[in-house]
Amino acid sequence: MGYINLDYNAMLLDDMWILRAFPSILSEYQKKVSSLSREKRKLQKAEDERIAIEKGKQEAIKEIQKLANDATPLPWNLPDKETMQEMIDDEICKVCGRPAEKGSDAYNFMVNKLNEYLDHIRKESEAAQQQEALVKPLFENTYINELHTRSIQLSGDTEQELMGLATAIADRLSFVQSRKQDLERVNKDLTEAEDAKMQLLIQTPDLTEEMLIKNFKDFKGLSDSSKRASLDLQELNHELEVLEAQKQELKERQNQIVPSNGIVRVYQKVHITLERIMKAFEAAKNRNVEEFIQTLEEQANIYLKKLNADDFRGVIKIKRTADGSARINLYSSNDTLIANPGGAQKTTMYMSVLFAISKITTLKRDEDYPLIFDAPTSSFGEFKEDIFYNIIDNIDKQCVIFTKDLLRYDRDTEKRELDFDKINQLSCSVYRIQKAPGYDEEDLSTIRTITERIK
Amino acid sequence: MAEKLYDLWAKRNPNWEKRFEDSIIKNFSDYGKGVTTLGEAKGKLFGAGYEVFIIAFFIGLYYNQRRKLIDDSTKIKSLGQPIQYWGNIDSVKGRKAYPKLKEFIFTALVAKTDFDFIALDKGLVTPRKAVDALMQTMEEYANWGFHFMEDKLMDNPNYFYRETAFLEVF
Repeated sequence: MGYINLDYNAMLLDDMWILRAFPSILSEYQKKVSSLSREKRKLQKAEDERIAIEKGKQEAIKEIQKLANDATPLPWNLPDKETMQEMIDDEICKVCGRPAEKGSDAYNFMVNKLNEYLDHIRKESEAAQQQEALVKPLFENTYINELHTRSIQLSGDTEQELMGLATAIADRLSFVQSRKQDLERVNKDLTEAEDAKMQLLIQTPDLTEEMLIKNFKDFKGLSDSSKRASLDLQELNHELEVLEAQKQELKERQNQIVPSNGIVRVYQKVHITLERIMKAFEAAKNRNVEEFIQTLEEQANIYLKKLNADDFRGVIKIKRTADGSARINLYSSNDTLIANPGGAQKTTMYMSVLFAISKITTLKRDEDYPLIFDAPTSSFGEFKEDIFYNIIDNIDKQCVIFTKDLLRYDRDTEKRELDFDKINQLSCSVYRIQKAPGYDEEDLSTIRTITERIK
Repeated sequence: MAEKLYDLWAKRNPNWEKRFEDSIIKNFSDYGKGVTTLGEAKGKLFGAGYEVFIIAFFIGLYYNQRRKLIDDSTKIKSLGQPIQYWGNIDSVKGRKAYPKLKEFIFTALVAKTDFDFIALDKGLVTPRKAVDALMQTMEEYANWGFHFMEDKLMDNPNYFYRETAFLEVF
């Protein structure tokens, strides 16, 4: 279980968090047990003192039993109790034969002697009891000692641990709290990212998330292979250089060989000459292509400028690709590709290249051929349409254009009519091509086309 | 050597009022499921039934409130395990053992029970009486704790199903 374990209920027990409020109870226990222990020791001490006093008392009694003239008295049981009682009742000492009247010293002595006897008997039995008490201890159990030992065991380290629980719990809770805040933050970021993603997807309705993910993966894969390929290319180029150098060296060595035979010398010269010619051709072919592409690019851009007068147009670039063909693209002036140009821009780009090709052919070969356009202005607005027709008008070239631009929809007759406002602006010939009426809507063979010269 | 008071106490098994069996003990623990399936039931806040008892006891202890158990012995039940086995089981569902906790419960009982321990040591009362008194304290605190939990549940059945619910009680 990590430090961010959230099972607080288990931790109440397992980590004894439940003891957070325990220190006061522990100290209550310690106070109670220590007072019990003190009380027990106090009682034991009192008992010890009592026993000591009891012993002292017995010594004192022996002192009292001495006679007036310091003579040693008879043993306490002589004469016996019955004899003493008889002598007192008869008021005579039957040991010495002298009378002892009631109230006389002799009488009193006898009464005292009897009392002493009785006292002794009583004390004897008391002493026997006391003896017993001396053997039996005041405390026969040691439970308070057990409790006291436990109290000592629980003080010190354990006590400190308990005191530390509050801090430990607070630390843990604040740690977990801050992790939760982190989580919240990350979740918020995640939600924001999801929102941003959703917005992107909404803005581009024809792109699904799966497509984007797939494209992204494709892109990553392709850019990885591109990286690898460019590394390979570097290596291969280097290898090529080395091989070329080797080839050059071999050639030179070959040329240095002076043939002994005259006919071989002639062949050698022929070989060298032909080789040089071949190299020249190769270089020229390359240069020709380069020049052609450059000219094409220049011319195309001139037309593009005309076709897109007063509008954004970009720059046409024609780049040779590895397989020997060329690719036409529109670029911004800072040399970034315009990946997805508008319909009109695309159309004018291709048208410009077509015009350029046509022009170059005319220049180089002095041959001309017509340009045929099918609905070239379908992606244009009306303004651009006009510009287009004006340019075509100014191009010294035969152009055939198929278009609906010269028709106008008449709401009253619900038919398409010729727009003579537009037709009259043009200097070229205009023909109308349309289906002859009376065709079967489902039978292609009944369609006839009528071509009618308008001007 | 006579048996220690702690050991005598740990052999006992506290009683509680049957009315809490379904509403609290079974609700929060796997009580009655046996050791083998301990902690397997989903959605339980605690493992063994005694864990809920411990929680209830500490609630009563910290609020310093006791409540006598009902007199009718047919409405009283005891837990499956005597105190000495509480919290000894390790490695159940990532839980740790907590054998020490019992000792703290014992000290709390000694501190809170009004009993003549001097007379006990003099041999004038039996250790059994002492343990009876400690158990009574324990059961009364826990009983109050159970009532406390019951009240909270009545106000809001989900009161304790929050991460820090029990933690906050303490």
